Amino acid sequence: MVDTPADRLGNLARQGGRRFWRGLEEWIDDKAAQDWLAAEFPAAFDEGIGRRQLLKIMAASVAMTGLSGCGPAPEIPAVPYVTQPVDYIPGMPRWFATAIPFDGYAQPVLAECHAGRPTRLDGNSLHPMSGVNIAAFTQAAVQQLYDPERSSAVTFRGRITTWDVFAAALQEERHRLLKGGGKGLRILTGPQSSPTFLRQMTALRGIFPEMRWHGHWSVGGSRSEASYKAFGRVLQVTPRLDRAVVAVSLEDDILGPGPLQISAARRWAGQRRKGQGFPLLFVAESTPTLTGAMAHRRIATASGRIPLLAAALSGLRPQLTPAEAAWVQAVQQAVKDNPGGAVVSAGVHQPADVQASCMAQAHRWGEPGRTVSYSEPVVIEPDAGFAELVADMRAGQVRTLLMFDVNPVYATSGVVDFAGALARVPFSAHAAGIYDETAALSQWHLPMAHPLESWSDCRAADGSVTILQPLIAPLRQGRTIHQILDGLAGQPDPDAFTPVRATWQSKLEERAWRQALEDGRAPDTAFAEVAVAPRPMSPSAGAAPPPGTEVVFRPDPSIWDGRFANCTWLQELPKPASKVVWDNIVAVSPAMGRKLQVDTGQVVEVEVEGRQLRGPAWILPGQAAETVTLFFGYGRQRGGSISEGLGYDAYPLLPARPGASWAGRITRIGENHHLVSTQLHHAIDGQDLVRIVAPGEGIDDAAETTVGHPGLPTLYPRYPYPGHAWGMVIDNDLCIGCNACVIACQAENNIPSVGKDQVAVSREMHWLRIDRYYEGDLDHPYTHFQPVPCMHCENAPCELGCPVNATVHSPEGVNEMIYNRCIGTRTCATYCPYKVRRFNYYFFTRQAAPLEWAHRNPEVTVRARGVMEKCTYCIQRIAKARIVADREGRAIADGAVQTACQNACPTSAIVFGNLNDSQSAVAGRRGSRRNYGLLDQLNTWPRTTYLARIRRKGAGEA
Amino acid sequence: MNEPVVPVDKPMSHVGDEIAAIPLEYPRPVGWLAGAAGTLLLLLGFFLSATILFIAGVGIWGVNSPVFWGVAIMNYVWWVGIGNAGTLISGLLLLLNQVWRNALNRFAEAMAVFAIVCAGVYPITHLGRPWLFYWMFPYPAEMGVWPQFRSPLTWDVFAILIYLLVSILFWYLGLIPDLGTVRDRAKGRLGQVFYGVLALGWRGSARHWLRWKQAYHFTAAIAVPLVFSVHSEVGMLFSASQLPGWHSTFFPPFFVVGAAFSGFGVVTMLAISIRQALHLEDVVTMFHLDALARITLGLSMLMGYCYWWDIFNSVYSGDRYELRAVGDKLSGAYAWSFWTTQFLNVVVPHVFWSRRARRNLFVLFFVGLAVTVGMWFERYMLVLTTLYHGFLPSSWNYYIPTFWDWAVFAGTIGLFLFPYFLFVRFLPVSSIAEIKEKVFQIRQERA
Repeated sequence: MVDTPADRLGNLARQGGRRFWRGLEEWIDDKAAQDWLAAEFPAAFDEGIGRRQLLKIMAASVAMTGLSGCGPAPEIPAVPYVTQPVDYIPGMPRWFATAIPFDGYAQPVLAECHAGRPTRLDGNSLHPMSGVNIAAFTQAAVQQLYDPERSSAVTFRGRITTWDVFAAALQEERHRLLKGGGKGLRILTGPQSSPTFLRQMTALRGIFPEMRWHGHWSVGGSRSEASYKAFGRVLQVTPRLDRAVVAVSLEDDILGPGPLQISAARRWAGQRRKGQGFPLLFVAESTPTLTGAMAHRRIATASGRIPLLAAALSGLRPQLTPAEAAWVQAVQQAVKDNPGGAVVSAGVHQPADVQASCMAQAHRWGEPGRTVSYSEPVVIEPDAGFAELVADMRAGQVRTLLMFDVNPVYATSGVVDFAGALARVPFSAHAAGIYDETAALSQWHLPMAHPLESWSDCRAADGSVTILQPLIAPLRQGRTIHQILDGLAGQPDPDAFTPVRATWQSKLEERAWRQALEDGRAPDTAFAEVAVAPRPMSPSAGAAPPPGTEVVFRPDPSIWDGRFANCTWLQELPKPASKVVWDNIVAVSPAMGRKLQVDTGQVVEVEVEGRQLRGPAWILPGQAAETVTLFFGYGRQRGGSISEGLGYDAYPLLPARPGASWAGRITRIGENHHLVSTQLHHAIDGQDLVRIVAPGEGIDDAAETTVGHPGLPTLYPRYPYPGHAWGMVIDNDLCIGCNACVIACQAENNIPSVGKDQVAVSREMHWLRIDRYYEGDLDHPYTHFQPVPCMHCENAPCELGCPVNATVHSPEGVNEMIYNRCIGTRTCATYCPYKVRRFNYYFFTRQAAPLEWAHRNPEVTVRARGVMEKCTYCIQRIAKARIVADREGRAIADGAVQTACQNACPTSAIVFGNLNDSQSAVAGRRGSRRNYGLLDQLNTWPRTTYLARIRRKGAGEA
Repeated sequence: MNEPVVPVDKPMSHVGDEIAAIPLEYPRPVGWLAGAAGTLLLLLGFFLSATILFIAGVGIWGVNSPVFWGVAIMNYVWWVGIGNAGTLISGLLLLLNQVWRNALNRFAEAMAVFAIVCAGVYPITHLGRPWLFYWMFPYPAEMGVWPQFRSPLTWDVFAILIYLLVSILFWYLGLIPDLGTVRDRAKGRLGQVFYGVLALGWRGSARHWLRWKQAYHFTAAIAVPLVFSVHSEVGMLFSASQLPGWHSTFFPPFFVVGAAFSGFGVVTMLAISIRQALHLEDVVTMFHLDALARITLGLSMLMGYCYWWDIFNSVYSGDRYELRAVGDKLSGAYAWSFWTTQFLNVVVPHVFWSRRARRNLFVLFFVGLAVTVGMWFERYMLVLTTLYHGFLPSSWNYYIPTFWDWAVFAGTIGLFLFPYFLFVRFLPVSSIAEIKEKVFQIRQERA
C-alpha cells in the first residue's frame, strides 16, 4: 500500500477512467489472481478443477469476482490474449444478470458487455417482474456508469484524500462510538430492500445498540402506514391490473414512471391485450399522468378533493361537483357491472387515511386474491423517519451521521434546514455516486460504487432477490454501502464480495449461488401472497379543501428527484405530457392560464406558506383548473455540469408536513423563459393519425393500405420478397407513452444527445419519437401516444429523392441508410412525410467525453457530421440473427430478432418480425382488423403499421 | 414606335467608339474602383463564411427538422432564375430576330453566367459533407456506384452543369468579333496580347463571319431549351416530393415563368446602371428600357395567374393537406412572405401601364428591384410554407435563418457582382458587331 500523501495522490491520479479497458478474463491468468481465487473459492480449487474449467463453470461471475473493487486494482499490464479463454469470442458480447436498485426495488437487468465493459441493459427475461422489458431510468444506468463527472475521490472537507485516511478516521470514530454503545450514530438511506443491508444493520445493532437508521424519501413515501391502518400490518399492496376489469386510480400513477412501473405496465397490458378494452381505467387526478392518458374515463380534479372522492367511493355522501358525482356514479356502475373485478388505489402522496380507505374498498370490491395481492413489504421499514433525524441533529444528539445515496440537502422541504443541522454533526460522511449538494456540506464524501460495479442484493416488486454482481471494476474507486458498513463494524479491509456472500452463505450453497447469479434471481425468495382481513375503519367524509389555488409537487417524469439530472439521455427525453426537455415546468390548467393571462413559457411566481419560487408556466391540457403542479429534480446547485443551472428547484417550496396539496398563490411575472419542447403542436388537426375503435370493431376504411394489400396503384413493379419481409406493428392501444423505447433505441443505436440549444432549433436525434396528441376539449382531453419510428415505406419517398443512392431498399424490405454514401443533401428528410429522419447538423457524436464512448454499441456505426440517419429496424440485430440461423442451417425463427424498442416496451406494444411468415406475431397483428398505416393515403405502403386504440362505449361513457 | 433602336443617325464608327473604348480607357475609374472594392469585400466575405461553414458544418445555418432546406435552397432557386433570363433574352430573342436584343444581350449573358455560378455554389455549400459533392456526378467510380437517376437532384446537377457550360460558350462566342475589335484598337502591348489571345485570331473575313453566325445561332438553339429544362428541373425538386403545396405537376412551368420574371428584373437594373454609369444612352435607348418594362408587366400578370392558379389547383383538389397548405400560404406563420410576394410581383409592376413610368429610370430601377426581391420572397414562401407544416402535426416547427445564412447570401452577391465589375471594365459590354450590323441593315432599308 502507498505510504506518503504524495504517493496517495499519485495513485489517485493513476486511477483515472481509462484503466477499465483491461480485459477482465486475463486477470484469471495472473498468478496473483489465481491465488486470490484459491483463497476466495477454496472449494473449487480443492476439487482439482483446472483454471479453464473453473472459468467455464463459474461463467462470468468469477471473472467479475476478481474485480470486486477492493481498493486500487493491482497494476497489471494490459496485453492482448496470447491464449484465448475457451468461452470467450472476441467481438461477441457477453451477458450478465444483475439489477439496478431504484428506490429500494430491484430493476432486473441483463447487461450486455463488450470487451469487459457493460454497454447496454435489457430487462432480465427470466425475471417475472420485468421480462426483457426495461424502463428508461434503468437503461440510463449505463450512462451514469460512464458519467465523466462521477465522484472519483474521497474528500475530507472538500480536499481530496484517500480511502485509507477515511478508514482510519472511521476506526477512530468507531472506538469513540463503542464507548457509548453507539449513541449518536445515525445512518440515513433511501428506501432499502437489500437482505445484506438488513443483515449488516442487525449486526451493527449488536455492536451499537443505540444506533438508529433513518429513511429518506425524496419523493412520494411509503405505504406502510396506510396498509397498517387498513389491515393492521405493514403490507405490500399490489393492484392486479392483469386480473381486474375495473381499475380506479385516485391520483395513483400506476403506469407512470417509478420503481414499479414495469411490473404494473406488464400487468395492465396483460389484461389490455385481450382486446376488450379492459381494464376500464377510471382516473381522478389533478395533473395529467400516463395512467390518466390510458383512462377510460378521467376527471381532472384538485388533489385536495381526492379524499372526497375516496369517501364517495366508500359509500359516503360528501359534497361533490356535478362532474365528480357523475364520475363517481360511472365508477359505481362499472363496479356493479363487474362484480368482484374492481380495484381502487390512491396516490402515495395522499393522506394515509385515504390510501387505507381505498385499500379497504379494493378488498371489498375484488374477489379475494383476484384484483389485489398482498405480501410482505419489499422495502424495509427504517427505525425512524427523516424528520426525527433532523430534530435530533438540531438537538445535538447526532454525533456520527453516515448518509448513503441520498441528497437531503437538495431533496428536502425548504422549511427543514438540513444544511444547518448537518453543520452541527461532528462526524458526517456522505457516500454517493456524484459530488452533490449534500457532499459539499458533509465532512467526508465517499465515492460510491455504481450498481454495475457492485456486489449487492435487492428485492424486486415481488420480493424476489437479485444478487447484484459487478460487471466492471469500479471506474472511480467507488465502494459499496456494504463495504462501508463492514468498515463501521470493524472490518479492517472490507471487500465488496464477502458481505453479500455471507448473507447467502446458508441459503445458497455454491452451485445455487452461481445459478442465482446466472439467472439474476435467487430461488424461493419471492414473497408469498398473504391473506388479510381489513380492520374496521370509520370512514371519514373528508373535508373539502379551501377554495382557491392549490399547489402540488411531483417528481419529474424524466429525471425524477434529480438523481438522473446529470444524464443527457434523460435530460433530452421529452416529458410525456409536455414534451419539454432540459427543463421543468410549472403546470397550469388552460382555465388558469386564461384567468392569469399567462401563456406557455411565461414566468410565474408560485407561493406556498409565504415562500416563493419562479418558473416557466406550461398550459397543460387536462390539468385540474385550480391546481398548480411543480416538478422536482431541477435547479441543482451541484451534481455535475449537465444538471446545474437548469430549471427551478421546487423543494424549497415544499412544506415540511406531509400532505397531498397546499393552498398557494400564483402570479404572472411576465418575462419569458426559453422552454424547449420537441412537439409544438398537440391537436390532431382533424386527421386520423390515431384511430379508435370499439372492441371487436375494425378500421372502417375500404382503402386500407398495407404492404400486403396495396390499395392505390403505382407505376413501379412490386418486389416479390421471396425471403424475409420485415415489418413492425405498433399497438396504439397498448402504448402508455413511457419512453422506454426511446431510450432503448438511443442506447442501442449510439444516438447522441444534442443539448438544449440544438433541441431548441429542432435538431434532436431520436430515431424513435413518441407523438402525443389530444382529442376533445382542452380541459378534459383524451391523450394519445403514438411511437413513430421509420415506416420503412415500400414506396419510399426518401429513396426517390437521394441523388447518390445513400438510402435504398433492401431485398428484405428495409429502407436502409448508407452513412458512407450520404453527402447530406437532406432531400430524403425533406421528402419524408413522417419526418422520422434525423440529420447530423454538427459532429454531435464527437462532443461526448472519451469515457462516454465506452457505452457505445460496437455493432452500430457512430455517425459523423453531415450524414442523415434514422431507424434501421435494428438491422445489426437482424444481421446477427441471420448469422446464427445460417450457421445452424435454419430460417430465422419468429422472435429471434427483437428490436431494441420492442424489447424495452413493458406493454409489448411493439411487435417486429417477418411479414412473409404467416405464423409470426407481426403477421398476426397485421391481420388484425384494427391495423392501419399512418398516412396510408399517400400510397407509401408503410411497413410499420399501427393498431387502433380500443375504447369501450357505455359503462360510464361521457 | 418610331424611335431608334440602334444609333442609326450616328456615324458607323460611333458604336465601336462608345463600346470598345470602355475596356481600353475606362471612363469612370473612381466609381469603378469603389464598386469593385465593395463587391470584392463581399466576395471575401463569401470565402470567409464558406470556410467557416465547411469547418463547422451546416449546423451554423438555421435549418432544422422539419425545415431541412432553408435559405440556401431559396437562394439557389433565386440565382438559377436570374441566370435563366439572361439566356432567354439573348438566345430566344436572337432566334426570333428581335433587333433590340443586341444592346442588352452581352451583359444579360454575363449576368446569366455569374448567376449560375452563384446558384452552383449552393448545392455544394448546402451539403452536409460538401467535400463529397462530386458523388453526384456520373463518373465511373471504383465501387461501381452511380448517381440515383430517379432523383431530381441528379438531373439538377446535369441541368445546371450543362447550362453553365452552354452559357459560357454562348457568351464567349458572341464576344469573339468584339474582342477582335478591341484588340485592334488596343494601343498597349498588354491589351493587344490579352484581347488578341481571347479573340482567337479573329480576322473578320467573310468565312469567319459565316462560321461565327452559324455557331452563334446553333448555340442559341441549344441554350434556349436549356432555359426551360433547368428551371423545370428546379421545379421538380419540389414537386417530386409528396408534401402539400409542392406535390403538383404545375411547378415546372410555374418555375420557368418565375425565372424569366426575376431575370428581367435584374436585367432592368443592370441595363440602367450600365447605361448611366458608362453613358451608353445611344446603345441602351429608352426603347430598350420600355421593352423591358412591357415584358416585365406581361410576366407579372403571368406570375399572378400562376400564383392564384396554384391556389385554385390546391383548393380544387379538395385534399385536406393541400387545403391546409393554402391556408398556411394565405394566413400561416409565413403568410407575410406570400403577401409581400403578391405586392412586389403582382401589384407593383402594374405601374408599367403608364408610359411615363416605363420611361422613368427611377421607376424602372425600383420595379426591377421590387421584382427581384419579390421573387426571393416567393421562394421563401414556397420553401417554408410547405416544410414548416408537413403531414404530422407533431413535427411542425418553425425556421429562423441565422447570421451565417445571410452571410453566405451576401457573399454570393459579391460572387455575382465582383466578376460583373470585372466584366464591365475589361470586356465590351454590348455587342458592337451586332449593333453595327443592325445599323447597316436599317440604313440599307432606308436607302
